[in-house]
Amino acid sequence: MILSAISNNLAAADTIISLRPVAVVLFPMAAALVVYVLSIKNKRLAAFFASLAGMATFLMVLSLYPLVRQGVIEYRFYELMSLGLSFRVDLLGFIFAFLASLAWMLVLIFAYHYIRVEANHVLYYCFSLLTLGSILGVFVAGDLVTLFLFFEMMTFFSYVLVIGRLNPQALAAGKFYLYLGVAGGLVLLFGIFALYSAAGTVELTNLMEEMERGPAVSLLLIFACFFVGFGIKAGVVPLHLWMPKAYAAGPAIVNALSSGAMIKAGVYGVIRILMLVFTPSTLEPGHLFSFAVSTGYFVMWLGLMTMVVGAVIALLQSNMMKLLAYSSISQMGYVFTGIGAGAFLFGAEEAMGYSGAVLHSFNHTLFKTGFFLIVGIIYYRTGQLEFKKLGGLYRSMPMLTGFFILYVLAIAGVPLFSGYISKTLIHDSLLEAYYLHGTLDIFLAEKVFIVGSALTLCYYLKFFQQVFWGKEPEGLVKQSGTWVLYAPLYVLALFILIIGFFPHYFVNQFVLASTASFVFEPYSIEHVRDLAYFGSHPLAAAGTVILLALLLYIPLHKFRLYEYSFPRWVSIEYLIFAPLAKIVYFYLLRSCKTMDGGVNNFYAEIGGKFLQFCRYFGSFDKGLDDLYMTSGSKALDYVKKTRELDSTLDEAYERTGSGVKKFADRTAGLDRALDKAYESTGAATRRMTDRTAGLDKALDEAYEQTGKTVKKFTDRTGKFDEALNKGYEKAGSSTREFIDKSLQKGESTGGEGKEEEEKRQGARKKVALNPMEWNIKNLNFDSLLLVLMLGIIIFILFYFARGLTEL
Amino acid sequence: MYLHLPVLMVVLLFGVSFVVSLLGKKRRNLAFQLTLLVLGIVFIISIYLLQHVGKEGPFSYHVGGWPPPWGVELYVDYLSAYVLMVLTSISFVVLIYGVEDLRHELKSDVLHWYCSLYLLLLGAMCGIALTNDLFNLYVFIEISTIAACGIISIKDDRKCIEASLKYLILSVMGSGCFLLAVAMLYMITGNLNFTYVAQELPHVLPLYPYNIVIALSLIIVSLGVKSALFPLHVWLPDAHSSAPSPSSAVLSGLVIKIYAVALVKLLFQVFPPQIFEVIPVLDIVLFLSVLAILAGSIIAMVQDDIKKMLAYSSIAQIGFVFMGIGLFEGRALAGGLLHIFNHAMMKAMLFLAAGLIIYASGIRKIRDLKGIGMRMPLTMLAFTVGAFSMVGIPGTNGFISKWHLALGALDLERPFFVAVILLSSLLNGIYYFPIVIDAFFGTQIMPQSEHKDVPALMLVPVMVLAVGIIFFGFYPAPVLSFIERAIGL
Repeated sequence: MILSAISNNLAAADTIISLRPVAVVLFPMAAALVVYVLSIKNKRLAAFFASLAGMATFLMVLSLYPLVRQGVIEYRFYELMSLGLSFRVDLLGFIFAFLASLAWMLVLIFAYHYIRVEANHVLYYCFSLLTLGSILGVFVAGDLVTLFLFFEMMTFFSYVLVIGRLNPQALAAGKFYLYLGVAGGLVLLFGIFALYSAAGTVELTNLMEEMERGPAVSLLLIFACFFVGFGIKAGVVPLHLWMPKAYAAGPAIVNALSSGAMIKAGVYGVIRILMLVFTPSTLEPGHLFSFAVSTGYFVMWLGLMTMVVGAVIALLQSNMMKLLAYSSISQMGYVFTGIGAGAFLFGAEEAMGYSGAVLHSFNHTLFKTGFFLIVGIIYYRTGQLEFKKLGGLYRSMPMLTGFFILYVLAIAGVPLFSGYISKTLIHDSLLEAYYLHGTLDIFLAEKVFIVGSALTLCYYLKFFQQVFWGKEPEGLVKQSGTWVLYAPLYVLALFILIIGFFPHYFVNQFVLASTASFVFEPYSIEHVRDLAYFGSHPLAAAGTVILLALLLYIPLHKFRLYEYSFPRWVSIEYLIFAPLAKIVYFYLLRSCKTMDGGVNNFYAEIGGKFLQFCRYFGSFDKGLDDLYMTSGSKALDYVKKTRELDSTLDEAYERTGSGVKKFADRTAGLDRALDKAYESTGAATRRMTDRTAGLDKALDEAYEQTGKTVKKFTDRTGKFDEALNKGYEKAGSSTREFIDKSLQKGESTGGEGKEEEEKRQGARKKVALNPMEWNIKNLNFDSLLLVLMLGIIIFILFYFARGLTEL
Repeated sequence: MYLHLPVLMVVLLFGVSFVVSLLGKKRRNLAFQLTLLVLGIVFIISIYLLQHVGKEGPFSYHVGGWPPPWGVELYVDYLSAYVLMVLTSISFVVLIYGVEDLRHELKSDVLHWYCSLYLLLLGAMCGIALTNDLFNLYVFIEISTIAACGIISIKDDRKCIEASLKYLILSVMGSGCFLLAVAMLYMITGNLNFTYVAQELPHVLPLYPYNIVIALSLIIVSLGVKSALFPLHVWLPDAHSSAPSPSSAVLSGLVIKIYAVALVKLLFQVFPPQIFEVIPVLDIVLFLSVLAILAGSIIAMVQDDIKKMLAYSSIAQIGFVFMGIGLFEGRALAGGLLHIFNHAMMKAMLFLAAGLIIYASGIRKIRDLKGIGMRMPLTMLAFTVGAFSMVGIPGTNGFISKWHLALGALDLERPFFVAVILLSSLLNGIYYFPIVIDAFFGTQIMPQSEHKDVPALMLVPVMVLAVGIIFFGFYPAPVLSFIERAIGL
C-alpha cells in the first residue's frame, strides 16, 4: 500500500502534515483489542487498562492543541477508498474531539467502579473504546467520505453499547436505534453522492457555487439529506425518537457517553454543513445567500421547537433516565437555535449564534455527563430509577446533592456558571436578529426561547424535589459510593466554574479562534469578542427566566401537574411514525405475501393441470397399452392362424420337399419366440435371452434335419446357450439383489425423522424413475416465463427497430 | 512464451479435469491435490496475465495458428484479464474450503467426479472470458452450463436433483436461444469472430434490422436466464440453496456473473454503439435490474433458510451488475464490473460461512441461529463483515461498488437509481442485521454438545475472503484502475 503524504500547497503556510489525528483514531481501537485480550484472563485488569486507555486518548487529543494553534493538521491517504481518506483537524474539530475524549475519560474512570452493577463488562469496555475511536474519527475527518465512514462506524459500535444489557427492552431499543441510524446514514450518503456528483469534491469547504453548477439534484434536497442524516444523531425533534428508548434501556455509563459526546457528532455535522458547506464563499446578497439564510431560519425554528417540545415532555417523565433523555433533546434545541440563528444572520452577526452553539455543545457535555453520572451513582447506591421510589437523598448523599445543584445552576443559565454564557450568546443572537429584521416571528422566537429556558429549570426543580427533597423511603440506600465515582464530578464542576467565571478567555481563545475555518464577517467576531456577559441586559434575561420558572413551577407542583401523563397516542411516534411504518410494512409484506400466494396458487393450479394432463396422458397410455394388448392377441390369433396355415402348408411342403419345410419350421419357431417375447413382461435382457433361446431352439429343430455333425454342433450351441441363459438369469438376479441391497443400504444409512423418510422415498423413486413424481410444476411456468420475456423484449425492440433502418 | 498462456489455462483445466476423473474413488486425495495444484497454477498464470496486460496492453492468440476469420481467436484484454483473476482466485479459495467440506457433504465415491466437474466449469468460464469468437463462446457456455448442473446434482438428494433438472432445462433453453442468436448474426455477417462481426454489423444494419433486433433480444434473454436476471431467476434459489456449499459459493459468486461478462463483451465489442441509441435494450436491462434489486431483497426478507436467503440476495446483487451494464457508461459501468469481483468475494464468503455453520451445527433455519456467534466467533465475525459489505457500509468493498454505481447514475443525471441503490441497502440491512444481532446477542437455543469443531482448513478460506472484503474496501485502487482501463475511462 502506498501511503503518501503530500502537502496541500494551496494553504502551505498553516498546514501541518502529521499522522497524529490518525493515531488518535486508531489508538482507542487498538486499545479495545488489548482490552479484549486482557479480559480473557482478568476482567478487573481489563477495566483498569480501559480507563488508562481513555486517559491516554484524552492526552493524545490534548497534545494536538499546540499544533492546532499553529494551523490545520492534515494527513491524506490518497489511494484509500477510491477517493482517498483525509484527516484534517482545525480548532472546531479539536474542540469537539476534546469534549468527546474528556467525556469518555471521565465516564471510563467512573465505570471502573460502576460497572459492578452491570453485566457484560467486556462488551462495554471494548465497544466504548471502539466508539471513542470512531467518534474522534468523525471530528478529525477531512472530507465527507471519511466523516461518513466514521459516522457509520460510530452507529454500529454504539449500537452494541445501547443493547449492552442484552434484555428484550434493550434489544428492542437497539433495533430502533440501529435501523434509524442506518436509514439516516443512507440518507446522508445520498446527500454525499449528490454533493460529490455536483461539486466534484467532498472536501469540507464552501461548495455552494460548485454544487449549483451540477444540476443533477437540487440544493434543497442535498441540504435536506445532510440535515436529516446528522439530525437523527443529534435528536432534532421529529427525528428524536430513538433517544428516550435507548436511554431508558441503557445504563448510565452508556447514556453519559451518548448524550455527552455522540449526539455532538450530529451537531458537528450540522455546523459543518450549514455554516461551511452550504455557505456561499462570499457573503454577498444573491440567491445562494438567501438560500443559506432561509435554511438558517428553518433550522432556528426547528431548534426552538425541539427545545420546547423536549422540555415539556421532560417535565412529564417519571423516570430519571427518560427525563434526562428529553432534557438532552431540549438542549440540542438550544444548539440548533444557535446554529440556525447564526446562519440566519449571515453577513451580520453570524459569529454570535455560532459561538453560542459551539459553547453550548461543550457546556452540555459538561453538565449532561454530570447528570448522567449522578443518576448512575443514585442507581449504583439504591438500584432505583423511578421518581416514585426515591426521595430525600440530600441527607444520605449531601455531596451528590451539592453537585446536582451546581449542574442545575449551570444548565438553567444562572450567572457565573457556564450555561449562562452560552445561553446569553444564543439569546443575544436572537435579539440581534430581531434588531436586524424587526419582524413578529423573530420577536416570538425570542419569547419562545425564554419560555423554553424557564421550562428547563422547571423540570430540574421537579427532579430535585422528587429525588433529593422530601422523605427518604426506608432501606433505599444499599451501597456506599467510592471516591472513584465522585472524581469525575469534580472535574466537570471545575470546567463549569472556569467557563462561568472567565467567559471571555474561553470564548475568545477557543470558540472565536475556531471561526478561522469559516467565512464570517470580521466585525461580528469582534462583536462577540467584546460582548459584555455580565451587563444589565443578559442578567435581566437570566432573571426573567428564573422568575418565570418559579412562577411556572409553583402551580405545577401544587397541583402535581407534572405527574400528568399524556395518553399513549399523543406522541409523534404513535401519530405519525408507527402508522407510517405499519402501512409500509403492511403493504410491502402483504403485497409480497399475496404475490407469493398468487404465484403459489398459480403453481398449484398449473401443477394440478399438469397432473390432469399426465393422468389423461396416462389413460391415453393405458389405451395404447390396451391397443397393444388387443393387437397382441390379434397377432396371436394371426400367428395361430398362420400356424394352421403352416400346418397345411407343412403338408404341402412335406410333399414338395424338405428344404421348404425347414424354412417353415424355422418361421414357426421364430413366431413362437416372438410370441413369447410379446407375452413376457420381465426384464429386457431376459426377454432377449428367451428370444435367443427360442430362436436357437427353432434353429435347432431346423438343424436337426440337416445332419449329425451339425446336430452335435447345435447341441453344443444349445448347451452353451443354456449356460448363457443361466448366466443371464444369474446376472439378472444378482443385479436385482444388488439394487435391493443398495436400496437397503441407503435406507439403513438414512437416519430418523421425516426428512430422511422423504429422502429415502425420493431415492427409491429416483430408481423407479416415475416422471409424475418430479416436481415439474415449476418447470413449465419457468419456461413460459422465458418465452414471455423473450416475447416482450422482441416486441419492444421491434417497435423501436424501425429506427435502425434510418441509421 | 506468454502468448500461449491463455490457451494453456483452458487446456490445462480441461485436461486435468479428464485426468482427475480417471483417478477413481480410491485416490481422491490425489484428485484434490491435483485439482488444487492446477487451480494454483492457473491462478498464478492469471496474475501474470493481469500484470502483463497491465504493462503491455491486450494481445490475442490464434488457436492452432489459424488467423482470425477462419480460426478461433482468444483475446486477452483488460476486461478478460480482470475476469480471469476473479475466476481463478475465488475458485481456488473456495476449493480449499471444499476439500474438507465436500468429504462431509458428498458420498466418497463421487469426490473425484466433483473435482473433475469443478475444473471443467472453471475451464469453461475462463474460456468465456477469453474467447473472441461467437460459436466458441456458445460452446463454452454449454460446457459451463452442464458442469454447473453437475456440481449441483452431485449431492445425491432429491432437492438437488430436482433443482439441477430445473436449472438444466432452463439453461439449455437459454443456450438454444443463444445459438439461435449466433446463427442470426452469422447469417447476416458471415463471420463468427467478434472483431469481424463488429466490422460487418454497421453495414448490414439497415439491411437486416430485424435480424439484429431478434439476435439482441435472444442474447439478452439467454444470458439473462443464465445469470438469473429478475423474472428469469426462478431456477436460482433452489439450485443455489440445495447445492453443496462450495458449489453454492462458486455458482453464486462466479457462474452467474460470467454470463453478465459475456453480455458486456457482446454489447461492447460486437454490437455497434449507435444501435443502443435507437433500441432501448439498455433501458430494458436497467428496468429489470431495478426489479431484481428490489424484488430480490424483499423476497429474501421472508426466507427462513439461510442459504435460500443468500440465494435471493444474489438475485438482488446481480441486479447491481446489470444496473452497471444498463447504465453502460463511465463510473456506473465501472461500479457494475467492480461489483462482479466484490460480490464474488462476499457472496462466496457468506455461502462458505453458512456452510461452516451447517457443518458445525447442522442449523439451516435463520431463527435457530441465535447465539451461534458465541460458539463460532470467527465464522460469525466473517459473516458480519459480509453482511456489512452487502449493506454497503463504508470500509467494506460493497461500499466502493455502490459508490461508483451511484456516482455513475448521478453523472448520467438519473438520481432515481441512486435512490434504488440506497433503498436496497436499507432492505439488505433489514434481513442481514437480525442474523448478526441474534447470532451474537441472542440467547442460545441448541445445547453445546451437538456442536462440532470446525477444521482450520475450512475456516482459513472464509477468513481470507473476509480480510479481502475489508482490504478491497479500503484499497480498491488496483482493481479499479484496471476496470477503468477496461472500459476506457
